[in-house]
Amino acid sequence: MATDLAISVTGLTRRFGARVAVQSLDLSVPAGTVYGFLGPNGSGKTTAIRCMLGLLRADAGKVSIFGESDPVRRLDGVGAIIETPRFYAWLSGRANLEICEAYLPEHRHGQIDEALERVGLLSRAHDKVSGYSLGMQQRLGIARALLGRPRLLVLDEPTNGLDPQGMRDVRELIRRLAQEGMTVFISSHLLSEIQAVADTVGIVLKGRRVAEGRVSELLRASAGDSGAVEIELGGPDLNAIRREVATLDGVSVLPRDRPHPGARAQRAPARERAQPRLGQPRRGAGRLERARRELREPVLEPDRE
Amino acid sequence: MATTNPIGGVFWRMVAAELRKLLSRPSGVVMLVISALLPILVFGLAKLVEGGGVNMNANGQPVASLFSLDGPKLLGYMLTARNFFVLPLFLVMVSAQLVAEERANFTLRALLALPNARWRVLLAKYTALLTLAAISIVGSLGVGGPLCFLFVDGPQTLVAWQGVALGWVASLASDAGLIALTLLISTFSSSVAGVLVGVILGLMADLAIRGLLQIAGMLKLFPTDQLAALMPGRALAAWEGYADGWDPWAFLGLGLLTLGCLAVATFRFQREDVL
Ligand SMILES: Nc1ncnc2c1ncn2[C@@H]1O[C@H](COP(=O)(O)OP(=O)(O)OP(=O)(O)O)[C@@H](O)[C@H]1O
Ligand SMILES: [Mg+2]
Repeated sequence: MATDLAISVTGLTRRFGARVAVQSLDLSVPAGTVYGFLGPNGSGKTTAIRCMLGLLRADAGKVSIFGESDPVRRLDGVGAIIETPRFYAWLSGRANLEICEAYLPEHRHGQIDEALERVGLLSRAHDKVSGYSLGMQQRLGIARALLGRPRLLVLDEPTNGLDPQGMRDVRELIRRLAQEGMTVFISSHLLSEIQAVADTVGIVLKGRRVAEGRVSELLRASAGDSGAVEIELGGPDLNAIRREVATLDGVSVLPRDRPHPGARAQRAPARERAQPRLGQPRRGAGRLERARRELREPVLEPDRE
Repeated sequence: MATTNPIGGVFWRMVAAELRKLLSRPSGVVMLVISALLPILVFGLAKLVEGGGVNMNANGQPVASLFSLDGPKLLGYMLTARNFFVLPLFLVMVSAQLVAEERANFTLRALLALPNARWRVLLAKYTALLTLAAISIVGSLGVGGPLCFLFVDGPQTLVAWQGVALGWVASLASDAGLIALTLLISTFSSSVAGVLVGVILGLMADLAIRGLLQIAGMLKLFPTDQLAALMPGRALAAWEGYADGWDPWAFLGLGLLTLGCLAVATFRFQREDVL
C-alpha cells in the first residue's frame, strides 16, 4: 500500500438522482505537499471531499488516507472545513472548540489555545459565535480543523468570506503548516489561490479529473513559447470536456484537427504526467489548453446547465 | 483512535459535550426550571383546595371534602403533572435539537467528520438526553418530595411511599422510550417543528389504533388486551402503574419501543448522507 500518499482516491463516483456529481475520480495527494483541487462551481469538489470524509456514501470507488481505508479510522489525524463552517451560535468560540475536542481521541486533546492563536482569535475566544463576523467564523473553522494537530488538513474553499488581508493570512498559515510537515488539501475555484499555495494541482470538471500534476510543470513555459503550456485532454465525452475547459479563463482549447495526442506528448513534461491519468477510453483525444502564467483574475466559470 | 470499548474513553466526554450544549441554551434551562416549579404549583393548588380556599362543589358536595390529602398521594399528583404534556414536549424538543436541528444547520457534519462511528455519536446524544431527563426527574422529585414529606399529613412509613417512588423511577424509563422515539423521527425530519408534529401525530395514531382495538375487543374479534398494552402510547404511560397496578405488558412494550426505535434510528443515522 502506498503510504507516501496522504490521500488516494480511485474511481470515486457519486450521483444525486440522475445527476452525476463525481465521476470515476482518481486523485493522488502526496504526503507533505499542498494539493490544490481546482474546479469551477458545481464541478463536484465539495461532493468529492464529503465522500473522502465519509459524510456522503460513494456509489463506487475507494478512498484511503495515509493508507487507511476504514471509513472511521482514516479520519484520525484529519482536520477539515467543508463549505461554510457552522457553529453552536449561542456558545463562545472556545466552547465550540471544546465540544469538538471532546469528539477527538484523547491523545489529540489540549490544542485549543494553539489553534485559536494560529488564526488570531485568541482574544475573541470568549465571545459568542453569534457575534462573530463571517471572516471570524471562517477562521474559527480553520482553528477547529487544526484541533489535535492533524496530519492532513482538508480545506474546502477556506477563503470564502475573507477580505484580502484575511486571504493573505490564510495563505501564510497554509505555507507555515506545510513547512511543519502537514499535508494540505485545498479546494478552490480560483486558479490564483491554488497557484499561490499549492505544489500539486488536480483540475476537476463536471465531476471528472481532467489533469493532475505539479503546478510548476503544468504552468511551465515551454521553450520558444509565450509562456504557454499545452496539456492533452482525454475522456469518453471529449466534446463535453473541451467545452468545459473552454470556460476556464486564460485557457483556450486548440483546434481539433491537430494530430493524435500521442504524437505531441513531448511538448511539456506536464503532459506526460497528466496524460496517463486522464479519462479512460481515448476515442481520438483532443488538444488542450494554454495556461498563461500571468493570468488576469482567473475566475473559473460556474457549471451552468 | 477512539477506544474500542463502546462506552469507554472518549465516549463520556462526548456525552458531557452534548449535555453542555443542552444545558447552555434556553430550551434546556427552561425545561429544568419547569421541572422544579411544577411540584410547587401542584403543592400550592392542593393546599388551596384542601384548605377550602377553592369554593367549588362536585356532585353537590364541596370539593374539599372529597379531597383527603396525604403525602404519597400528593407526590403522585406531582408525578402526573411532571409527565403530563409540557415536560414530555420539552423533552421531544431538545432531543430534536440535538439531531434534526444540528443536521439542518450543518453543525452535525463537523461532529461526523471526526474519527467516531456514527452510532457512537448517536448513543452519546441519547445518553446526554437521558441524563437531562434524569436531572429533570430528580429536580421535580427533589422539590416535590420534601414538600409532600414535610408539609402534608399522612403515613410516614416507607411502604406507603414505595409505590409512588417507583412511579418516579418508571418515568425515567418512559422518558427513555420517548427520547428514542424522537431520535427515530429525527432521522426523517430536519426541523424541530417537523419532529414535534411527527411525534404528536404518531401518538395520536396510536390512540386511534388503541380505540379500534378496544372496539374489536368488545366485539370479541380477537384477544386485544395484550396487543393494546404493547402499543407505544400505553408503553410510554407505564409509569401510571404506580397508582392502578403495574402492567408488565406496558413495560415490555416500553422496552421494545425503546430498543426498536434506537435500533432503527441508528441504522438510518449510520447510513444517512450528511451535507
Ligand atoms: N445534496 C445534493 N443533492 C443534489 N445535488 C447535489 C447535492 N450536492 C451537490 N449536488 C450537485 O452535485 C454537483 C457538484 O456539486 P458540489 O457542491 O460538489 O460542487 P463544487 O465543486 O463544490 O462547487 P462550488 O465551487 O460551487 O462549491 C452540482 O451539480 C450540484 O448541484
Ligand atoms: Mg463546494
